[in-house]
Amino acid sequence: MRWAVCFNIAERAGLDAIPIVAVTTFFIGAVVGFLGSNELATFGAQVFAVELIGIAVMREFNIIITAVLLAGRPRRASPPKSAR
Amino acid sequence: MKMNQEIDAMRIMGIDPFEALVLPRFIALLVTIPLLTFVATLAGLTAV
Repeated sequence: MRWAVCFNIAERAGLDAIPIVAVTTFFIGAVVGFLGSNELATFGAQVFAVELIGIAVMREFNIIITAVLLAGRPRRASPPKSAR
Repeated sequence: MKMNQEIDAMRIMGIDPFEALVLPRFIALLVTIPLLTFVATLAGLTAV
């Protein structure tokens, strides 16, 4: 088993993706919270904006955003020798 | 990205391409994605 390759890929694909994942999820959560609280204020149920964003982020957005960003992020760090 | 028959060369050199290319990525992401999801959850919940 090639553990050095494992850790190299875990660092390049995972550790280096922390900022973009955190920023993207933060702003999507902010937009959903803003729109949801605006819409819920129509019914006077603004308190439930917390539950809306909690359920939305914890059940759906975190894993979706992480998976999409990890799948689509190009690895610019080390191009293969044949591509130079 | 199969370029210049690199995978064929690996196979000729006796290296299993699946064990050398696919398995490390699979194991690395198996460990990394839950941690990244945790970070994403924290970032999303701070937006409330």
